[in-house]
Amino acid sequence: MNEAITGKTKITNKLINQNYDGPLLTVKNLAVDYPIIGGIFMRQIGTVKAVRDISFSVYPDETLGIVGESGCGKTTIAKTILNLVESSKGEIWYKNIRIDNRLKKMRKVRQKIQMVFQDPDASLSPRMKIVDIVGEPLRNLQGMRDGTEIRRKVLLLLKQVSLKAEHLDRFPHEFSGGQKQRIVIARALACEPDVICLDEPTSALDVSVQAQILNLLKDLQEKFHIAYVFITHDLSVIHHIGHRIGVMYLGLFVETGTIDDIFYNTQHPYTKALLSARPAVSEDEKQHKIILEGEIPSPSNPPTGCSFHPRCQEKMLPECNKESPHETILSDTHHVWCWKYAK
Amino acid sequence: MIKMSEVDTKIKEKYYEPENFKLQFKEVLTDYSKFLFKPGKEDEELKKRDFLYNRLKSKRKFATKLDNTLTKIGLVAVFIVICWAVFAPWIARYNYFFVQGIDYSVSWYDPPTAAHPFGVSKFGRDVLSRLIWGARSSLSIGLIAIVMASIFGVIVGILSAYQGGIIDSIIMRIVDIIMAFPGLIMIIIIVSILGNEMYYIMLIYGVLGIPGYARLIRGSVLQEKTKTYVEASKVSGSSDWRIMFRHILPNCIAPVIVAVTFNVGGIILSLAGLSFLGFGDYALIEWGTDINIARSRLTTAPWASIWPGVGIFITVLGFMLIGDGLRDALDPRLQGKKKK
Repeated sequence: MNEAITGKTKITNKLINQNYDGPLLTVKNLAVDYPIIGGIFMRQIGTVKAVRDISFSVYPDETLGIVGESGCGKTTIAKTILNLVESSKGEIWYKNIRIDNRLKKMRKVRQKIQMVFQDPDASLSPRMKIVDIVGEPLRNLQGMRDGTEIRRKVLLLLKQVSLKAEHLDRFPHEFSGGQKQRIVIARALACEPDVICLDEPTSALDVSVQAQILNLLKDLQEKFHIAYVFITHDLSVIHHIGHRIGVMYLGLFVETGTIDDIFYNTQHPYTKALLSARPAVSEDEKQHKIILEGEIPSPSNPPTGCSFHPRCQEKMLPECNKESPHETILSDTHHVWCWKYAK
Repeated sequence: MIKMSEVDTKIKEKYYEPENFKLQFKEVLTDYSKFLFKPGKEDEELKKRDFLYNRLKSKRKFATKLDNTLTKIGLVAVFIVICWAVFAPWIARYNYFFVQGIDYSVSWYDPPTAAHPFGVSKFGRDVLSRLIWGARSSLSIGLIAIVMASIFGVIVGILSAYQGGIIDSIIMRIVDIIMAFPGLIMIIIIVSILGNEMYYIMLIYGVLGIPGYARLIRGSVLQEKTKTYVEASKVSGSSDWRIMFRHILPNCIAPVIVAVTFNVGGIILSLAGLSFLGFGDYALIEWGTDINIARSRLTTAPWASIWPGVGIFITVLGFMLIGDGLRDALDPRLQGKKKK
């Protein structure tokens, strides 16, 4: 077994490319707090607990979907993995290298973990050409300096996402939304990463383009053996591309499992409500909609007990509003956090 | 119109493949001569080449956005003044030292004659020659001061806005302090302490210009740094310097360019004011100094003070008009309206 690497050990390319049997990415008990600054003296008057206690691991070649409604902390998880946000608790490991909160030392690891942002329009610098945008990771992370060489590599990358050579010298505003998202994916692929965090990569696109992008992502996964952390609120998208799913509510997982566990053996009341909110085709499905009442509670002041209990339609146990539920293991892959199954 | 599919694949490869990217420049030198005397429309290869060029080149044409009568007037005015400054030894009839000295062949404040088309000033100095030579000092002081102010101002402003926190507070308080001084009085005091040499004047104008630019760019950087592409470039491993000057700067330089053109006029005007008050550099030929000298004879010899005034007027107006045109061209919100 490989030794754990923390602290001041220098991270080399050899360490990053080593063979490792375990999961590529491990997140243990992650918590992220955002301070609320206000008042006359601009002091911290509270914290938004965006992510409270999240653990998962990502294995090679698989897609882990993270679903939940807006504001439940999905994007924060991705940003924390990429060191864009500081975690306040917990550990993040890439193979056997610990990567939290040390952005500058982690440049080497950055080659292997990349991110695709939600809005392709905003994530491309408007005054830079496509060559420069896609070539940037090569220049920064792999130390390529020769312009012609970068051009050649970028052309190969663009061909992977079915763009053409004539697009090299154009500016982002000359492209459509789908093409922009392809460019962003090409940039993420530049350093041959192992893990890509996809933060709602399809939500800014229309449905026909969504399908193209999803199929492209699937093809790339088969070709390069990349693991995806796929963050979305669209359950049909994750049904199409995912292998395992974690359902989040207010910074906590409520249910994790494979596609089959979540879609066809749904246990947690929140997951049931989410699934019933999908656009239905058959008359039968349309009648059994579960409509949740109220809003998602404020993450700066989460409810006591199970965080879902104010909106839960199946709450029946006295523990529901007193103590937060423990992890209940239903099968090897299927875990649920609900008092209903705790006993 | 040719379609892309009709274009010879060989040519396509020649220009698109990055290996051959350098080749096209070499080819222009060797092969170009055969097309020199042939109209472009007749030659097939040239047609294709033209088509390819149009596909490859960027769609943003900056020059077309400057298409405005007032802007053109401004460009012509500034061009004329720059020509005066650059070609002064050839345009002006009398050389620099002659018009700085005393000419005993003419009487003081003579009206215009053939030898002195714009008349004569005090000490028998030719007004036209002094007008032309005066462009040199105004432009050089104004431009160098503005370049200094804008470069340092932009660097300070970006650093302050991007780093934030305590650095931002310190820099911005210093900027506030400098801005709180009344400009002209401050310059007069410093000039009377340090001496009225040209370099000091440049330096003072440069330093006093920094806060304005720092303030100006800070606002847009604060807006720009929250955008997703900054995070995206962090993910691609960019250092802070690279993000600041390669990603953020190009996206918020437009207001600075506009401010520079406006402020050149402002500095030249302020410089004329300074030398009118008698704090200019006496070794230089200056429009403001000329007006100051001829001021007492304004009613009897108006040419001696009006023509330097016209010089100041043309320069300042030219830069202001260019600034106006640039502001319209660089502001994306106005683009739709101008197409009429």
